[in-house]
Amino acid sequence: MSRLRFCRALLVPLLAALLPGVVLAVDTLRVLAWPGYADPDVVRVFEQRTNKKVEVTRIDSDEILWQKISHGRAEDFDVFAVNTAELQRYIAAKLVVPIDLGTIRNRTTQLPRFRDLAALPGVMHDGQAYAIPYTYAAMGLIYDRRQIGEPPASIAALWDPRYKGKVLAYNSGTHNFALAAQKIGAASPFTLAERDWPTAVDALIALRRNVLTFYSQPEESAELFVTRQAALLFANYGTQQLQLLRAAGADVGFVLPGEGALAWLDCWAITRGARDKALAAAWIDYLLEPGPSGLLTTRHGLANTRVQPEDHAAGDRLAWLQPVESVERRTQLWERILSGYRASRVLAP
Amino acid sequence: MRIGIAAKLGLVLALVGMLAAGFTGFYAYTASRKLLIDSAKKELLTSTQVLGRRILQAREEGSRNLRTLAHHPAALAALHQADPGREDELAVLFNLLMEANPAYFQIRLISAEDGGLERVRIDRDGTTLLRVDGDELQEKGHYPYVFDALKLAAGQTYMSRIAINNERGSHAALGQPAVQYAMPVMDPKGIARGVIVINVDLDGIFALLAQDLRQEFHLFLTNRQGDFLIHPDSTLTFGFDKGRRILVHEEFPDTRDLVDGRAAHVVTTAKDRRYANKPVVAAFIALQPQVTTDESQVILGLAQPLEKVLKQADALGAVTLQIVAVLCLAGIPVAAVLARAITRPINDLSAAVEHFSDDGHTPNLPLDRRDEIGVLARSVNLLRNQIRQQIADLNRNRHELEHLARHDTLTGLPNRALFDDRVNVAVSAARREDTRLALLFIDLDHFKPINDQLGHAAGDLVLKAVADRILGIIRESDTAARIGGDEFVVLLRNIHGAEDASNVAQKIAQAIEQPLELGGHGVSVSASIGIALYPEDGADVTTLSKRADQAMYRVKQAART
Repeated sequence: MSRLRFCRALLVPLLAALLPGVVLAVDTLRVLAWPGYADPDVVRVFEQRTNKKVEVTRIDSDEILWQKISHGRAEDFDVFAVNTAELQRYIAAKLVVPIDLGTIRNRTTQLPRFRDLAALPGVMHDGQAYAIPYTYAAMGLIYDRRQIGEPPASIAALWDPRYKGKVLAYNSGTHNFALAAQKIGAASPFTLAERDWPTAVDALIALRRNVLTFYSQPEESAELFVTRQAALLFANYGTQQLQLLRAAGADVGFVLPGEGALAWLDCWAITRGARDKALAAAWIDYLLEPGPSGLLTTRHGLANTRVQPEDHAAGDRLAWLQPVESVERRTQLWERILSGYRASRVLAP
Repeated sequence: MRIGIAAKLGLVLALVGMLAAGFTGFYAYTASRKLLIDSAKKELLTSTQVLGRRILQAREEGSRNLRTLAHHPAALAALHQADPGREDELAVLFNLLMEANPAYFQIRLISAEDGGLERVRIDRDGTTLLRVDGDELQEKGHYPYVFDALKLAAGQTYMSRIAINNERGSHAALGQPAVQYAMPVMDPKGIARGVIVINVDLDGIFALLAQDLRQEFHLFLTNRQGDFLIHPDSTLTFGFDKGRRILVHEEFPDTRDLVDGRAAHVVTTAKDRRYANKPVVAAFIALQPQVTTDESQVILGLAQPLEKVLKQADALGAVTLQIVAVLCLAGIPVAAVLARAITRPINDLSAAVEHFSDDGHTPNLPLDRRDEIGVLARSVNLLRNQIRQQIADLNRNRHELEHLARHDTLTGLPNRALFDDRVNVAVSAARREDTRLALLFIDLDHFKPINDQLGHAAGDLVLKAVADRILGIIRESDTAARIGGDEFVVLLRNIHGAEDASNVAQKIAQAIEQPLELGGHGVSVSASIGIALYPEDGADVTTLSKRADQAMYRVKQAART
């Protein structure tokens, strides 16, 4: 036995005796997760395997998530799930720490688009990974197979005069300007150049003239689609709306537009205050296994990062949501467009 | 203190009276409280239904206004081609209607073409009416009040969902709860060329419709799903717009039947949560707008604080309490009078029984009463009379016995015992008053032969006669007694000296010696009289008697010799 190992062997039980609270606390992993991300049976397996306790706190809004993490300077939780757009402010506030990718062995079993973290916006900073993808949803187009024979290939279908008065779009400034950016071929859906604004506004006015109406809730969209015989629906809520429509008896298809479907991506991140970062990493690695990831899809209808969903093609482009250049500007302009302002007035001060 | 039957009876009567009054009052109060709550509920339901009818009437009036505008030739003309003249004409009409209906936010003519461009539009802006025109007119084709209304037949009304109006540039309507009514404008071929839309201020119209409701009534309105649209706490309305649904059946659980369509009206009492401190009674009704709409049903409700309802009950309770108190107070003297009325004859009877032996004052008995007390009084009276009679007899017998014990039966004169008493008394008096008295001892001479020869009856007559003659001589204050067969004694009080006594003795002797006629025989007796004087011969009855006796013997001796 070397002297060093001898010292450690002596020191560890000593510390354990002196600081029982610290040692005991490390036996618990504190998880902050969305509904369906950490079901009790999933948690139990992890606890048995690691002989540690897992405390799961559920949140259901981005705001509450931010409060819980930022309030205690990220000391109250070890690991949490957050979408890539939201993740940016946690990185900026230094509430999360880089993850040692070598400890997440199951990354090798993820789909290629999730393995290449550099291709995912906002995950890597200064060459270090801050989040591991876990689940996602893409905003595709739902179309009535009886009215539209060929699946629409482009987001431009929303503007197609053939479907005038038969299009249902979503009532959101942020997302609609992203769609408009894709329609006019802007460089990024999330950051409009100054010269692009008037064109984008015109595009949204044109969209306004082509739609039947703009919806807010998934149920509302399904009801309108069925009762007003709509042909095309921008599915902001993704496959959830597809399920609702199929349940209502609609003969509908789902397609991701060629420009790249807007998509949100939820990742696991480790907090600055994590007491046992290796345990937090082990939790993330465990959730990427076929069992827990499979349950996400079979039990909760959420896409996982291991298996390609039926409705998506392997080559489908996904435009992962990113923070936009100005939520306020998009919202203000959108409210004017929605209210029926004419182009000349929309951009007025 | 002894508690009499009257007090006990009075107490029991008073208690029974109080209990009866109290229980009656209590039951009257609880029953009327329930009646009040029931009638308040009924009244509330009626008020709600009246309000509901008013809402439907207001809606019908809105439809009439829409029809007037939609059928006005200027509407179709303005839609057909841009014609400022016809548009102005329409704007004047809109203005007039807006002035007449303060709850209208906007009236608009909207084209079916050009993305649903507004053609004529009057907005309310604060207290003024504003005509919106030029490029401020907006395209509204994507709103249901345009695209759904365009599908209607001529004269049919469309009603929008009730929602917060978020349409920018809508002046007074911006950010307010509003509902849109719309009607298509048809061309002669029956093709809808546009719509007339009236934007109604929800709070304004309800304020107007509910203005004559009682101040304490709270108004509620919800949509078909039960989301609050009007609530006394305005922060609880349109929760679905803020991502947090606030439902009527969470606040009033009984209204679930309305939301689920199982009932047309619900009357309920809320005592939990926000009503824990201030319970309310509430009535809710389901209203069908009876027009083409996605708002196929609204739920209208009125609530009234239970406290207000119970205030009436409390007033009633106070009156009841007063009545009970007055009854109780009135009951006490009544109970006392009643108790006295029953116990007085009993008291009289007992007094009568107590005073049976007295001949003095006795209470009048209620002899002529015809009830049980009368019977008792008559029995007592009979008993009293019998007892009195017997007592009187006893007294008479006692007097006779006493007389017999102290008098001589033959002559009626006091006997020795009584005479000795009198002498004792007289001696005491004489000693005290320093007077003198004399004792005469009288013995008849030759009396035995009369008895033997003429019989005892004759002897008795002689003795009687002697007694009468002695009594004839002496003063009333003097006493004569027969103390033996033919022996008499006389007590003379207040004499001056021996001569007085001798004179009296002389007179007695002479009187006795007077001849007596007895059955044809002349009989004469004589008497020997001895005198003893107080204080000379003795100071007590025994000594005086002895001296008088001795003196008498000396006289008798002297006479024989």
